[in-house]
Amino acid sequence: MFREITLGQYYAVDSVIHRLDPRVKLFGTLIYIMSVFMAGGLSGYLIVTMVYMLVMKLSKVPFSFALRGLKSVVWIVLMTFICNAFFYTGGTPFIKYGVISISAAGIKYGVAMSVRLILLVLGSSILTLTTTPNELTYGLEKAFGFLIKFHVPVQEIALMMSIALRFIPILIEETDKIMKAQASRGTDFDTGSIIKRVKNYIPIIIPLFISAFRRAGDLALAMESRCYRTGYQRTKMYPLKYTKADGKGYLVLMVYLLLFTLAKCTLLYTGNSGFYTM
Amino acid sequence: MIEFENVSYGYEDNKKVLESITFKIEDGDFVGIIGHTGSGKSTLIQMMNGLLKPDSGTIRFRGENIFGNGYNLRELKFRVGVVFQYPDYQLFETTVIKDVMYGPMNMGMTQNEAMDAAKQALSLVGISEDKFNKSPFELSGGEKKKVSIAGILAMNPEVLVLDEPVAGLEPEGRRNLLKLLEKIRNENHITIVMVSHSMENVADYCNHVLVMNEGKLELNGTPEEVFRQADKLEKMGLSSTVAYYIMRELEKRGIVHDDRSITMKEAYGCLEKLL
Ligand SMILES: Nc1ncnc2c1ncn2[C@@H]1O[C@H](COP(=O)(O)OP(=O)(O)OP(=O)(O)O)[C@@H](O)[C@H]1O
Ligand SMILES: [Mg+2]
Repeated sequence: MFREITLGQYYAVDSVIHRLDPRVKLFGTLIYIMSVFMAGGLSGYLIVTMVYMLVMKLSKVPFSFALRGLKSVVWIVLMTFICNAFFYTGGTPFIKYGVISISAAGIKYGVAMSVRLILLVLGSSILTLTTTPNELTYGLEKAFGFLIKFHVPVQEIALMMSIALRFIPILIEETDKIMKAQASRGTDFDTGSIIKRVKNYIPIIIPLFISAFRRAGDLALAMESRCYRTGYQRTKMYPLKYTKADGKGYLVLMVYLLLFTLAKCTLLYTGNSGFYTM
Repeated sequence: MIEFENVSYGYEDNKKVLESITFKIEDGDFVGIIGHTGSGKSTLIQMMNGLLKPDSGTIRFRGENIFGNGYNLRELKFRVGVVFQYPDYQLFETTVIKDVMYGPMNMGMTQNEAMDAAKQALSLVGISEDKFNKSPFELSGGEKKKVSIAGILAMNPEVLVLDEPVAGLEPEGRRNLLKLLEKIRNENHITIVMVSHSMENVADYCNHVLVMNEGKLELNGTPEEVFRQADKLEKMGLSSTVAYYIMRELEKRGIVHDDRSITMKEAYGCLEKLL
């Protein structure tokens, strides 16, 4: 019943993007987000969309698979559009009714904001589509390693993240087994009032929590008996190492950022608002 | 009363876990299912109460296709009670008695009826009254197992299906539990299906044995028919019973002749005659 849920949305194929160091991909995501925020006007959005398409092509992830990530934000996008299109007060409205005022400028603005949001979600999902959760954790640990100097327990946080990631599939499997055991005693998950249905999940949640706590206790004991202590600089079994491709990746990203900023500044300076507005 | 006809099944990863399984369980049978780990035993029994739906083939309970249109699958779960391998997956209430009452209450019994059913089931499995109001989480592993069995027994099913019921119990606990199963089979006329890794237990108590191997039903017959095929069993990573091997050895040395014993009891009877 529950097994279909896969963690995150990693799409396992071998591609240039998959092979990149997670730190490069983190940096790339950051740059891309910046460029989406800077972009404006038709040409701007066209460029960032094309960049997205290009990276998707390189990553060998089917577009339809990436689109599934949009499902969860479809309502937010819709709300954004409605708020902007119906309540935008800048333009000259052709319909005005109470607080609602619809203008061409408002609709344009709404469309632009929705496109921006969609690009942000799709763009950053490339990171999770091409990086396993564990790689991502290591990448984040490295990238934020400098925070150790400010007494942020970076390693511990990373450890917590990877343990959580490790446990999620186990807990999903256990939920499945518990649901089957309780269904065999007649638990009914699909009928009755909301309150009744919520109550029907208590026989699932309690064994799940007890098992999770027991597992956590066992794990802590196992770690302690192997002398795990916090607060030491720990080395990795498979340390992240930059390759030539990663260097090229950084270079491409820097050039992209530079060009994008230049284009934006030039257009600002020459007063061509096509790139700027919205 | 339970019929499988060409039942096949695979989990999401599409590997075939069950392949064209056909067998029939009669009213009042004590069925033993044996097989190597991963051979599909647990998957098989989860189909008996409709928890898993076969990819192809039909399952009938008392002649009716349980996945046919309009069949009440929820009621089937009360008629075919399945006890899972690990009691931790089902215990959740604050007290033992309440936990056992959970199934009967789901059936629509009143508080009092459920209480009676629960008390009866608990004393049947040998949980003493002073433990009724304890938290199920304070019990030992074996006691938890008994409570989980009582939780299904209290629903008074027509078939009781158990996945490795004696695993984790000491010899006496095993014997008591198996004796109890035999008793409820004889007195309450409940059909019993038991998955077990103990050839001895299956030979001693069952009258019908199913042998699973890599998703196929390899052997299907009486304990005598099955356990006399020691070669086949060994090829599947199983074995025949200790008594069978002893008697074969004695036969080789010319001490016994034409013996068909597969249980210790039978072997003992045969040897006693010789003395
Ligand atoms: N929920 C599941 N999802 C995917 N595959 C599964 C699942 N449960 C079992 N399997 C696979 O199906 C096969 C049969 O498993 P099953 O649990 O039925 O074996 P079993 O005979 O009960 O083994 P054991 O004696 O160890 O309990 C195994 O290969 C197992 O890996
Ligand atoms: Mg099993």
